[in-house]
Amino acid sequence: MTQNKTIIRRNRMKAYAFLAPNFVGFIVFTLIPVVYAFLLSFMEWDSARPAVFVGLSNYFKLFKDTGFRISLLNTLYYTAITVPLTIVFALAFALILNEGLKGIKLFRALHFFPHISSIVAVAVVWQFLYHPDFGPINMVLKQIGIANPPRWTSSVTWAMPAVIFMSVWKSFGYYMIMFIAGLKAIPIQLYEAAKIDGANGWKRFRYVTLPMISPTMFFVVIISIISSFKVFAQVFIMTEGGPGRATSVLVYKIYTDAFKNFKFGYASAEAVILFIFILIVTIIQYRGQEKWVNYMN
Amino acid sequence: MKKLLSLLLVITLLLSLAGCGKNSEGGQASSSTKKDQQEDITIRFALWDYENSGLQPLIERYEAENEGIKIDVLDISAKEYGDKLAIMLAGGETIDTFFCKTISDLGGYVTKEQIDPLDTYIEADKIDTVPYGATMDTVNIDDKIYGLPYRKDFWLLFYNKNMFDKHGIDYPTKDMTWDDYREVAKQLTSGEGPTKEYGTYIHTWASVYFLQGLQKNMGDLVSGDYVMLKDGLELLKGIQLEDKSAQDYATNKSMGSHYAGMMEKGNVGMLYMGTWQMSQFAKMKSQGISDEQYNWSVAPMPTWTKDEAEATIGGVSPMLLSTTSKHKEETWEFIKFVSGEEGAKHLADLLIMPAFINEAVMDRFVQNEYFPEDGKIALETEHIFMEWPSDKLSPLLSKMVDEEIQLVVTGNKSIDDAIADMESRRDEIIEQNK
Amino acid sequence: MGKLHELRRKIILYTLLCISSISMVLPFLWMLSASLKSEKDVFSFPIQWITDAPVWRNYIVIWEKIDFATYYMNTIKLTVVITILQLITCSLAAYAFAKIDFPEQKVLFLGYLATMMVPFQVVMIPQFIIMKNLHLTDTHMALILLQAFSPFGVFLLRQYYLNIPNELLEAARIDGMGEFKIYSKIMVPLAKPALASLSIFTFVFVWNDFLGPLIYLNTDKNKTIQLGIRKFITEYTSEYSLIMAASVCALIPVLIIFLLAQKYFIEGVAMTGMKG
Repeated sequence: MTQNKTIIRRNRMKAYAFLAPNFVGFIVFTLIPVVYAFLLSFMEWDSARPAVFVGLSNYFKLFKDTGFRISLLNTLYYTAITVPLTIVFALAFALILNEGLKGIKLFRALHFFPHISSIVAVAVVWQFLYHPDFGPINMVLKQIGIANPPRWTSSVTWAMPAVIFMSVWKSFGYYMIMFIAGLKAIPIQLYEAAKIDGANGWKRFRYVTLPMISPTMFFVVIISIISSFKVFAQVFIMTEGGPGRATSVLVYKIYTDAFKNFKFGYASAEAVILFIFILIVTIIQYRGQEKWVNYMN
Repeated sequence: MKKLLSLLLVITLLLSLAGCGKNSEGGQASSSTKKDQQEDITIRFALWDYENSGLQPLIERYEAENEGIKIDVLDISAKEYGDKLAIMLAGGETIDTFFCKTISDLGGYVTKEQIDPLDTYIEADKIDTVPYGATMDTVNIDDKIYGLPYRKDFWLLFYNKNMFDKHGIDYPTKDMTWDDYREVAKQLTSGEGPTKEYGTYIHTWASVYFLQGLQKNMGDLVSGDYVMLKDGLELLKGIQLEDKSAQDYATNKSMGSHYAGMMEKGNVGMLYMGTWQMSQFAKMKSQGISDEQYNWSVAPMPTWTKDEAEATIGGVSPMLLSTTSKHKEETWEFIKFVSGEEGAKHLADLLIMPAFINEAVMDRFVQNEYFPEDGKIALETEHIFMEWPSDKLSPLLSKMVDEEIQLVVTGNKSIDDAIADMESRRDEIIEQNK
Repeated sequence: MGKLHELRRKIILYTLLCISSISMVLPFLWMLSASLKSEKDVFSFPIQWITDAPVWRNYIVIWEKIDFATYYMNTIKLTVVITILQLITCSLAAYAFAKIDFPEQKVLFLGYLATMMVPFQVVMIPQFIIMKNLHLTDTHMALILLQAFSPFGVFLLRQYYLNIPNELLEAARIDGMGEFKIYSKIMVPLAKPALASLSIFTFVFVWNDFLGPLIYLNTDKNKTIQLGIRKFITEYTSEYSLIMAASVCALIPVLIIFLLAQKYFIEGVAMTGMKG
């Protein structure tokens, strides 16, 4: 018994020695800020004068704030289109690249590069590509006979699709690689067996591929929804939330409220709402995964 | 391995510390070393667009004339100036003095107690505030004076004489109305495609679109009725989308057009812009751009009726004293120099309109070799409306007005709807920020 | 299932792949070609992909116009320091979570996992306030401290360590080897691929980070390359060819790293995508 205790104690010492450098930083710069963020959302604070406790008033204000409602709806709109598009493209090209064609490495690299390229540089380029009068995109559209192509970033209707399209272009290669890894793990015998049972291509995809990559699918859905909720840089550089408030998304609103209007408490309340959304998505996913995720082990 | 790891740790720590040491120069790093010698006092001074401000020689002169004073300039880009400065002040940066870019920010600095009132200094030094004229009212909050006005800018109509000569049209006078302006713009427009000549250029700032409203003298944009904006928006929309005598907003916005560059190309007839534009044009001229290319002059702003007194919009940039400054006396001396007669003369030589104006300063201004002879009438503008009053809601309302104007001029919303929405959004902003 | 059918299928797949790959590359090519044009040719149509007289001067001008060298040095400094610190702190912590049995292990690790779910945007305000109180705003130290202790890094390395058989370590423990020695002599060499993946992720993240520097760095001498491009956009608004040249300069280091270490990128992404 005492021996056990000494072992435990010794292990503890060891473990904390290893943890210490990271843990101290984690506590100060991650854990405390997380708690702090929740506390701040009940305060009113302009960064200069002392903070005042205001209870739920920030949250009541949020519900009456049309700007917040607009950015919430914009974020949901962005997510609802971006996530399915990204997943369809990523899965389709993962399947194609999984066919064992030649030059797979090159294709894979080309699709992945946009994901790691600087968002600032890429957003600037797209801003020019989208230019209503001189941009290559509209030039081409006019060439093929569309007299009045969309005015993209200066149209309320088309600004968000423009941002969405660029985001899908930038990120689907990343998810594609995850899917490829998932596809590689599927035992070939399963396909053989399905073939013998006379399942055609679609059926094989429906009854073998999809169930077998469901863990990857689950992961990709969560990650892409969460990152859609956090969209910021594209909007900040390409449209600044405009025209009007057509592309104002949650994080853009949080950023301007915090670092332009200096309403730190209010912006924290907005951030807490963002967090709750992300939490709900994750919980629904985890609840639902028992139903449709197939873990081999 | 162990050695290697610890070595790496030490190196990284050293690296990051070295970085930090470098960053905090001027503050604490240098003060403890040379106690026995006469120490230099460093005044940190934040401003925007240092390179184009023409202040460098003035500051060098000040350092030369004042032994032991160093001016450490903190240059912030013009577009981000307000935001960045607010963040730095909130972050507790040592800044001794800084320019306030728009008067609407001033109230914020006062309520956050980031700047000191200057009354005691002004009384002690018996500063004569008469040359500052009406600009003193803009720095007066609750009967205290916060800051000395340094620059005074108001809006004028710049025009390219060559284009007027080519079409045989008379130069703009102080009688020009907005309808005349639209008509003249139409007459000056010719050609198509990349070589098209435009009658006027209308910049993308919100103030360009609301100044016609302010000229109606129906109150300011915080408390006035937004109906005042209707005629101006209709006029500018008509010029861009019906007459096509100006490049439209969407193109300017997505191309990030620069007004001075547009004018300089020589294919734009008129441009209404702030007085700061004069120094830009003077600079280009001094760099050898010929009169054939473009030949500028200025007239007062167009107004809605002929017999109206000249009215325009404008702004004042005061120089402020930071609460956190450790050398307030020295900083005050510096503020006095830059915002006083010496600084004003220097600005006049650069064709920048100083806030401090007396006979001597004005003479220097109009006798400047690059100042157009027939431009004097423009400087006599009497009635200057503030773009935004010094009110804590100004920054929030200004973003809102900007968004709605953007929707109107990109054709996404009708003018009447936008005005109605502005009214309801203003109510909401007032409600939310009680 | 004839040969002909097979061939047709391949042609369709290749066509799809090529179309998609071209659309991936075109914006970058346009960036490159625009960066070598004179101002008036940037928007000429039809697009001239290869200019007759490339304007190499653009690449010289950007280094003269703004302090590009400083931005570059700052970015390199930040990425190197943060990557090294992250490797050290995360691999040590991950070792404790994966290979040392101690009573609070589960609870602490859950804490890490829980904060991983909280997006940066939620904590950026309190972090800013903490940095403000430490008087670290507008210093590189702020960004270094914020990014050197990533919970994600701990999570990623722990995943990898778990796959390494305990028997190896136990044998060494029985031989009386010290824990730190076991970690550095056995664990670190075995976990090289994971460490490589993490350092590459961190490198790319810090190099491309925009929101962090945007909040913390104010003065020119501290700015990173991403802010540098943005500054270019705001100050030289209509000089597209220069903006494009600056963008190309910001992309090149990432491109080089990517070409050299593609394997680790792909493995790293696959590793995070596996069962969490």
